[in-house]
Amino acid sequence: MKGLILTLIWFVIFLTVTIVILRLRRRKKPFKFFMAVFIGTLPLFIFSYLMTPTDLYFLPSSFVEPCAIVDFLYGLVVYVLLFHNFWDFVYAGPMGFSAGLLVELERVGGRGGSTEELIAYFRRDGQVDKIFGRRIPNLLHGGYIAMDNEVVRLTRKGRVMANLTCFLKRLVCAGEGG
Amino acid sequence: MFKGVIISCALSILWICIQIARFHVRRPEKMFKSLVIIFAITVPLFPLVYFLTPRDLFFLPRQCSQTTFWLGLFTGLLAHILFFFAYVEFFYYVERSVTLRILVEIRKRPECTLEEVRGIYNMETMVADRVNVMRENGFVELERGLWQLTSKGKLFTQTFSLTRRILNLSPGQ
Repeated sequence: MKGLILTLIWFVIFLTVTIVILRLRRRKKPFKFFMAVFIGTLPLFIFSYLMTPTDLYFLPSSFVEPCAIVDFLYGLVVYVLLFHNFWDFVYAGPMGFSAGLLVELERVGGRGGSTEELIAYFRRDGQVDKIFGRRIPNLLHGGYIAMDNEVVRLTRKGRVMANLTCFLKRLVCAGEGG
Repeated sequence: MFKGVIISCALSILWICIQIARFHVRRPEKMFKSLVIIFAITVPLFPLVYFLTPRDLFFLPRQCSQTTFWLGLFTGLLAHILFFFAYVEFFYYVERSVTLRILVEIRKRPECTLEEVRGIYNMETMVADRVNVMRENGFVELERGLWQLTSKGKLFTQTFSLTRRILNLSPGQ
């Protein structure tokens, strides 16, 4: 139980630090920042685990895990899963494509919005639309694709990722998606 | 504690296999609902398996099998729920990710231009497909040719807007 309690404490600290720093200065790439804060708290979690007694001064003996390594690993796995949940919630939720559509519909108010209006929201005047405009540079920067004049090619890394995606889509029976 | 985690891993593998088999037989219209139903079956199964199996699961070392019943049950169930969320997130990342879709489209057409990719997988199709998925899931409804938020959609939008404000995030996309 000690591992779990420390995990919850460190997760709250992670969230607090993340919120405070992001409120002081907006980050262009919040996900890298989330990862940096998370990795920063990992040695602190390990240190706090090593420096505290097994009962944390208040746990009854029935709540103390007799095997310390199991308790520690359990806490670590739960911490990783909580962080992953938070990351994915932000990625797929507030920062996601669907959320963009929902927020735009909320902005237009009670009269509602047509499909054309929603498309216009993602279009930038005279530029690549918001969807490709953000992702293509990210894919180029991440080394997944390469541009040769106008031709776009998958790099080795990009091909591995695309092959893996196709395999996983077939495995879990996912649709074309996107 | 170890016993609970092992049981939760085993049950997670079981429900994921059932989900994959179920989706291969017939893809459900409401995928999330289907994922939740299959997982929900394993939730009452967890305490039952936990109760019926020995503390050491026939192979655990003695030191790792001394956890009290309730502590093992609670921590195992918590792990089981977190594994569920992790898998659902993984599933939807594979299913819905726009970035991965772009990579797959480029893979299908070696030596194509970006404009050709955009011609096939374009924003108009993306928006139209996504609002239809959101309608199927009850987030929006179509009234006289205009998309409206449902009460469920409003609740989600408010949650997303609040999270954006708290984390000082710029709009996504």
